[in-house]
Amino acid sequence: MAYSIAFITGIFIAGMVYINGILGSQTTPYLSNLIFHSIGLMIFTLFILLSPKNKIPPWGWALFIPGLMGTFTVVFNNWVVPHIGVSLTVALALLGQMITSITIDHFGLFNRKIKKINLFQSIGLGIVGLGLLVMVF
Amino acid sequence: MIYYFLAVLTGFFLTLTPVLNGQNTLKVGSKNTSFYHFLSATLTGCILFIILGSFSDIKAIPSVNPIYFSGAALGLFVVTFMNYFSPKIEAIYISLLPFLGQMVIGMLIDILMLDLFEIKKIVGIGIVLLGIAVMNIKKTEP
Repeated sequence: MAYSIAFITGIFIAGMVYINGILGSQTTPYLSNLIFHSIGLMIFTLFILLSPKNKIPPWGWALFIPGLMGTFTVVFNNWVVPHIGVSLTVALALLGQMITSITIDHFGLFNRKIKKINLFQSIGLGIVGLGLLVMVF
Repeated sequence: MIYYFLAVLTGFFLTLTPVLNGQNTLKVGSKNTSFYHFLSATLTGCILFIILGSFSDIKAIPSVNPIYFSGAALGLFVVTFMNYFSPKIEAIYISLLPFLGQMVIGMLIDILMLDLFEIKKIVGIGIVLLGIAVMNIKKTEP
């Protein structure tokens, strides 16, 4: 069950990127990003209002930065997809994810356990890069 | 070229966002974290819109097919689903299965909607999958 959900999540992500891309082309990338996040904000404001015991903590940079990245993720997708397509965007983002997660593990950033990069990860990353080169050129 | 770089940068944000949100969740709970996530994303989005967009763009909203507003709903499903399956399946499948799902539907969208089908993409995806599999080979302890 969890395996099928993981696969379906991928379908939803691609659908989300595509739908936001269309919204971006029918409006503008900035407006579609604003609509996307405003709807999310409305839904989570509702969740907060529906749980009166919940106390909202004071604002801080740590709480601000992930949302900032969220906005740039959507805006960049809106810029990129019309030019290079969904599959290449997803594949390149995957490369970015791999490099970032390996770096975080290798140096134990953000208080995480240090997990040094091994030979298989280096070779695998090289193969992923090769696959992307094949897709691009 | 800039588009390739931005796509890779998106991957950087995609990894870092849940890591930072995970730390925030431990401190203030998941509801507050998600609330602040969308609040700061909306505020940043407002600033970007004011600087780079134009208020006349808003006129286009009524003519947009409402189905295209459903991206946010899909986003909420994505977050909920990820929280559900991530602890239940092996690490390799956490990246592999959503990637496969994205690729299958991404290919269909590229072919049917954007007219971007190329055989080299299928070959490339095969090589990328092989790379992910190699990365996840467990190093046997001596």
